[in-house]
Amino acid sequence: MDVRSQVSMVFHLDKCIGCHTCSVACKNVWTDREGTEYMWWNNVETKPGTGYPTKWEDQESYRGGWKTDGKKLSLRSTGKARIIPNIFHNTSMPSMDDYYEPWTYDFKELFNAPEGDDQPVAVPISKITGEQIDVEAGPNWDDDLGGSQIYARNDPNMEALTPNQRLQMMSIERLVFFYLPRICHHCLNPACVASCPSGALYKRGEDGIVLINQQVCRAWRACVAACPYKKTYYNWSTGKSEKCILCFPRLETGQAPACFHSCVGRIRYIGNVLYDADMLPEIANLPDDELVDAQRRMILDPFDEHVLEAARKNGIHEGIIESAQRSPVYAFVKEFGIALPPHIEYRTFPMLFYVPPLLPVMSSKENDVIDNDIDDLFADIEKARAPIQYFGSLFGGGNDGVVRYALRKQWAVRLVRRHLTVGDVTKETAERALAQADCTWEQADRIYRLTTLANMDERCIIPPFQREMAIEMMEDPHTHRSSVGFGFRNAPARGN
Amino acid sequence: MPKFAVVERDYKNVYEKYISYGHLPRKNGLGAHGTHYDITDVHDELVRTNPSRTIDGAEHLSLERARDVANVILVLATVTNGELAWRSYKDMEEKVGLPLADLADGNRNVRVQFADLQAQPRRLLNSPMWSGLTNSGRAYAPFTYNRERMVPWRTLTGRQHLYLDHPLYLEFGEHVPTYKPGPPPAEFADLRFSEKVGPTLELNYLTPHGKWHIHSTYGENERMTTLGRGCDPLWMNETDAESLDIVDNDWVEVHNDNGVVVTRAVVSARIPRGICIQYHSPERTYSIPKSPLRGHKRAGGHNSMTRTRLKVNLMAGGYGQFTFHFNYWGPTGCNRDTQIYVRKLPELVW
Amino acid sequence: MNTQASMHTQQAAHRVLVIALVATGFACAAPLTRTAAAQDADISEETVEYFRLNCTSCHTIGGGRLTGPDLKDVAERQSIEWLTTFIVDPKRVIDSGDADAQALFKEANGLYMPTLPGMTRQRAAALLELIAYESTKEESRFKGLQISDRPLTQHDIDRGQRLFEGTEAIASGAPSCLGCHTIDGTGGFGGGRLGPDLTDAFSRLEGRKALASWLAAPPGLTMQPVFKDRPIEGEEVLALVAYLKSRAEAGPPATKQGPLEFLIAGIAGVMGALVLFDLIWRRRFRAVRRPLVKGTTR
Repeated sequence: MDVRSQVSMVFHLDKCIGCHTCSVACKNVWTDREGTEYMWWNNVETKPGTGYPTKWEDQESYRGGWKTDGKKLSLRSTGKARIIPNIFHNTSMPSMDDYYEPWTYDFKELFNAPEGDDQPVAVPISKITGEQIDVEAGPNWDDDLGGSQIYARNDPNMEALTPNQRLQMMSIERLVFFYLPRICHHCLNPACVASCPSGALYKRGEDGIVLINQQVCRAWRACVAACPYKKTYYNWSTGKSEKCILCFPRLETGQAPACFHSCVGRIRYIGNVLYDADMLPEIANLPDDELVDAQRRMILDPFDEHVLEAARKNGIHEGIIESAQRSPVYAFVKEFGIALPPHIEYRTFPMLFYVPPLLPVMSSKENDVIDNDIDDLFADIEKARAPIQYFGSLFGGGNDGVVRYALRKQWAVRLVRRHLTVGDVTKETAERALAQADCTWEQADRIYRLTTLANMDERCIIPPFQREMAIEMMEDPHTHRSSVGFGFRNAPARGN
Repeated sequence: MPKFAVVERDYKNVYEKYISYGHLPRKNGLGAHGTHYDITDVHDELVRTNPSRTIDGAEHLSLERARDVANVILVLATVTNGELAWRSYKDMEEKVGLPLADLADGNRNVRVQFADLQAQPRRLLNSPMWSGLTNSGRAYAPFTYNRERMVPWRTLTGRQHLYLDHPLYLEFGEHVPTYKPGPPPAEFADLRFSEKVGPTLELNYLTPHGKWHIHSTYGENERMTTLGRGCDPLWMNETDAESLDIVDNDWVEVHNDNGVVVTRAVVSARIPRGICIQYHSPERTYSIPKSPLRGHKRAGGHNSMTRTRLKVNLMAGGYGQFTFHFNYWGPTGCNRDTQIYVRKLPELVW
Repeated sequence: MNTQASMHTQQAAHRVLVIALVATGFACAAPLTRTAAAQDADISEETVEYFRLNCTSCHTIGGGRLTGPDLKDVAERQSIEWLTTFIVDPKRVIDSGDADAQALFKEANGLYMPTLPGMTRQRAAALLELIAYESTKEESRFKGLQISDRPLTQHDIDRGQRLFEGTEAIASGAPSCLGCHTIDGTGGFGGGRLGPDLTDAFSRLEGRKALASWLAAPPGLTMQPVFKDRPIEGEEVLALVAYLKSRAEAGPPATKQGPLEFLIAGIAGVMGALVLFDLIWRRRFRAVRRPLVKGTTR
């Protein structure tokens, strides 16, 4: 048992209001520099939709992530041999058009326009060429089902639905959408790290954060192609690639990452989990629909004595163990079992988990009471606007069962709360729901509190980093806002 | 006989008066929402410490520079001056007969000035002027003050109303908030003179608030325009758009008797047929081409389609909360939907 | 007093006189023999080597005319001063209108003697000394390349072509001529463009002996470094002479191929490469967003 600790995340999608405060926070802090205009280390997508870059989930085109032949993993986009003829031009790399061409407006025109008989206007101009641009793409182009005929209808997850289900998802009064905020998942088996020919990508041992060494990076961009979530980006100005760093300068000073801290909907939870790295090669080649459960098995009980013994033997500090015991991520993922990894079938084993949204469900009531005699208390979930198969494709690796489990448990908690606060659900019904959802009164209460009442101190349990012992103390992250956040003495640049 | 008030005008000092704080607040105190507090001592101290101007021998607080204006506001407001908040609670205690000043206890010596805000945003202090209690880091939630401290609402009954038994409301059938269908399109009477030019569709035009913009604030910077469509688009139904051969991101021209808009279309399944949406309320400063229908002049914005319509109910009075109060209750230009014609833009001219 | 003592003195004086005379004689003769010996000693190996490398391609000493005149006893025909000036800058002397120089120029069919690398007045003087010395010999070591007079056969011509084009390597490892030179009718696109066209080389250099001598030790700044350590020798020279002779006599070919065909072949090659790359990387990433929009909307 090779016990490691990893800082992991949970996003609760029933709470996300799609305000993009997270995106703006990250952009203002980290990607406000020349060369990073098109980068959104944190982006929020509307689902159903094609996201950013457009249709990134289509791995037939983008060729990110791993595939298996049942015995061995191999990267879709590259390999030790294949990288050589493709080293100077990676044939699996998206172009700028698939992200978008960044633009601004010629605001100067409003001041400098000559006297005339009509009002001047600021036209859109490209940030790349400086010329007037016909804006046709952006990082959030299909927001709120805009252009649904083009984008939402071509959401790769729609392929898991029947034609009838697809039709319903686009019909007025039956349609539905939710928001999917995405950052780098700091995977356990990162394809980006595996693909780098220079060895610039690495995963930190103490917390699992994946980073790109700005001195070693040679901008081969194998990582851009290899990441199935497309969360590494090339900086055209410094000639290096960059990615979400999980705000490690903030974490190391006990602060939550910027996107977590600024989240208006309070949907984000961060905490570390202990996992067994030895299990990774065993489960990496399992069939797609077994992967969610397998990854869950890899996450270890931080109260189990065997686990703790192995952890201490591996040099994991007591403070980190104690954080793992208080971790909200462990609760959602392992204890409650209601948080699921995105597209586990890419086999990178992401450590960011989503609680699938209940979304507007059709409720069945009779005489103002949710009927005790209804056989299937969860029929409403099956009739939900977003079909379970959609979530099965997005969060289950094709396994609808794990999604159903997550939704049923949330529904049971809802019935329990309705019983307690409104009174139109009887105790028997609530108990029946709990039993069928594999839940208890205590757990339902914990889920309710963690979902609804938790404040920042309970949502973000940051393990101690002891950085003052490891390296010299960093300065206040505020002072480095919008500057190159890495390489204080030796800034990243071509040739460095 | 209506109430007359005598107002003095000193025309040779108009500009001087424009950039100075008058003496009436010092005399009468300040307040709103039924609150009141005296500011004499604070005002006099401010005249000594902050820039002031002399008009005909009398000293006034200066309002010449923006920073000075900000400081005057901050020092004389209850939400940023703890002593005044306490004073205002004390005054309210007399009116409602309940102990309230404890709500300001911890903050009595807090003063927030402009320089403080420049360094870091500050939380507002508890004040009887606003109905949310924010003690100890609590997030502002409206009416917690009324509910938890039993301070009556400022209505006829002292409670929140769902039912309004005002004769005018009863007559209009709006005494309870029930569904009322919109008027037939012709009643908007905004398409009396407009003509269809080319393939055109008549749609109901709605202008709800934008997802991210509080009117034009926050909407026009590079961040927010990049996270949207880069303009203020017209949201249309898929089938309606198809009938005009319009696809997502095409330019469209929208017009009625009141004005014209030229913008891009967002074609979406979530818009019902017969309706289009343009979120309000941005300025006309970016991404607006010229309108062929209006002699190639710069097109308008979302306000160009709608016009002010007075709502009779809002002129009702003599009933507690329906008393006219400037900026709070009275007739406003409230209707924000109307009918329009939309067509595909024939030529794009900037 | 004349006694035996005086006779001895007279004999001694006589002896001294003879010795003195002989010594003087020797002294007089010594410069002559010392000159001859000194020439052997004064003419450095370097000068000899220089002559061999730079001069023998066009001149012999006592071997007859090649491209340039036979240099045997040249000092008898012109003054040392004139010769030195000429050697240092032949073109200037010829162009100045000097009658003798002009006559030589005409004789050489309008070929200028090249200005030789590293030529100075001292070197010219040394070379003239060498020429004078060699002129005294019965058979100078620079009597010229002994090239056979046998008739040149088709076999020689074929071999010469092979050597020229590089199909057969030159024994010493020298590069083949085609690398820098071209001849009408050679190959699809002709040969190299660095050196001059050699179609008329045989006639320009006046025949077998001259051309052969030239080939044996090509002079000049460009050719010399190439062939200095890797000379063309023996039968190879003869073969090349035969080939060049045949080309000079053949005249221009019926068709002339040139740059246009090269361009077309180049373009065809590039297209072929692109098609190949397109096949190898047929599964490469192509655009996603734009085709999605175009495909769905129009």
